[in-house]
Amino acid sequence: MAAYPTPPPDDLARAVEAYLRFMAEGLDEAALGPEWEPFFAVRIDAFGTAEDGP
Amino acid sequence: MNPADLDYGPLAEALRQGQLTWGEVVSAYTERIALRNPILNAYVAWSAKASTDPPLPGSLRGLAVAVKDLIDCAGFPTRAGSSFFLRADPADAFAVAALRLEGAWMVGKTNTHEFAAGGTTLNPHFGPTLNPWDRNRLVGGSSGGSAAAVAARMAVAALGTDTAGSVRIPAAFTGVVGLKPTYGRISRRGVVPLSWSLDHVGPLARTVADTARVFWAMARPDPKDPTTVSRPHRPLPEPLRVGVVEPSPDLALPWDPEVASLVKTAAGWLEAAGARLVPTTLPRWKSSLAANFTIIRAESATYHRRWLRAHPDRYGVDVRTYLEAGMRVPAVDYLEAQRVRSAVVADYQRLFETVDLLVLPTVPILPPPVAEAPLVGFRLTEATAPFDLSGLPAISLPVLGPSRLPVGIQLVAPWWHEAWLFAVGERLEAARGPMPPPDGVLA
Repeated sequence: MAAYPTPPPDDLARAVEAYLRFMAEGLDEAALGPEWEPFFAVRIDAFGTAEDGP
Repeated sequence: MNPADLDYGPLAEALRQGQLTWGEVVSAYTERIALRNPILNAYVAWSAKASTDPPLPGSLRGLAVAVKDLIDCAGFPTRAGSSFFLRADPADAFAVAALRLEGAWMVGKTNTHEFAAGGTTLNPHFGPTLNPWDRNRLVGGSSGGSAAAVAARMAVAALGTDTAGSVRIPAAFTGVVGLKPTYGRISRRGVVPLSWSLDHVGPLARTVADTARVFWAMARPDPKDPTTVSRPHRPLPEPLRVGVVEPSPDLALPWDPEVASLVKTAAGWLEAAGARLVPTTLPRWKSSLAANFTIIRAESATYHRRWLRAHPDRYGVDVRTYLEAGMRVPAVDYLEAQRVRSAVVADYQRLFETVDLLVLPTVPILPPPVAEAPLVGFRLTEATAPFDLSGLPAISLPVLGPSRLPVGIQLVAPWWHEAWLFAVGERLEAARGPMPPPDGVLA
């Protein structure tokens, strides 16, 4: 991901592609380590369930 | 002094002492709004008549509040900055009801980026909101009308919503204080969603004290919003360890030198007050931005999918693009974004074992010229979106640089520690001195 997308405002298809590319590349670069396997480590209800923070 | 220029402490005192009548306060605001709103377009609807006369007794008695037109407020329709969305006669949102119960006066509804899906408040249906400091520069958004109303002394405080930075960005660009609380602090009931797992309601005001007043009145669990909880906070540690965030080498664009210099100055003020400064950077910064954008786009497209299919032409071009991108986010990317989010939360838990607060710019650039709006979109949320993703509380405090444009200094605390942001924010205010009123609206 070299830079932010600057979607051309007059070209919907290219703008959508730019957004999608940015998001997919950024997710890949998270490089989650083995501690984030298996996938049930995901807790989308994490907020508000712990005593002091998620 | 014009009563509309007063912050809440002096205003409440003048009302208590009988130096001001309630009628004089209402008149001052209605004259002010009639004069300035046609220039700035901060309010999309307002009423000269307060709902209770005199206002109810309470901790916010007579405090004039502007409400973002994404949040239901009895007496005004909710239109969400849209050409078609309408709740004609809504009941108060939980947050609005909480303020009204304390005697606050809901003056009107403020302009927003269409459905809060953008950071400029260049709304194609209601017109743009202009920046009171310089009408040729962006006001920020999506809560641009709320920020402009407070900056231009058309309200003491305002309510906004923040999903990637929408309270803090316009606060920074208009020289006011803006708070994004901990996720789960303030109910979103009665608020049109952008992205339900990232949306926050937050207050804006000209001082930290007024921001705190409004925040504490709303910060209570709502049985009908299951994300809300109440948690205690620890006392502010002394000496304070402040993580001074440096630009990420991963993010391609540098911070504006004036903004970077003002952040250093603010960190210096904290150091002079006894804090220990620790250089740091934000964990997985790029990926947290990508995860935030992925989740917002997928969730907002889910909310809008029927309307988007039925009448895509009724959205503005930029919001339509935003939602069309959301329609094409693969399920695996949405799930991966939530997994990245869990990792980022764990990263911040570790970071806050080594520091007590973070300081960084709210936006790494000065308020850009309106003509540059299509080019700056992602830069606006670069330093704010990571805290929507992680749910951490963050406040933007205004300072003024050599260019005479406002800049936001952002403080970030551990979850549930908004009280630390207020305490340290007041220290920064004291070191900064009074913030002058905006030049542009007076010119």
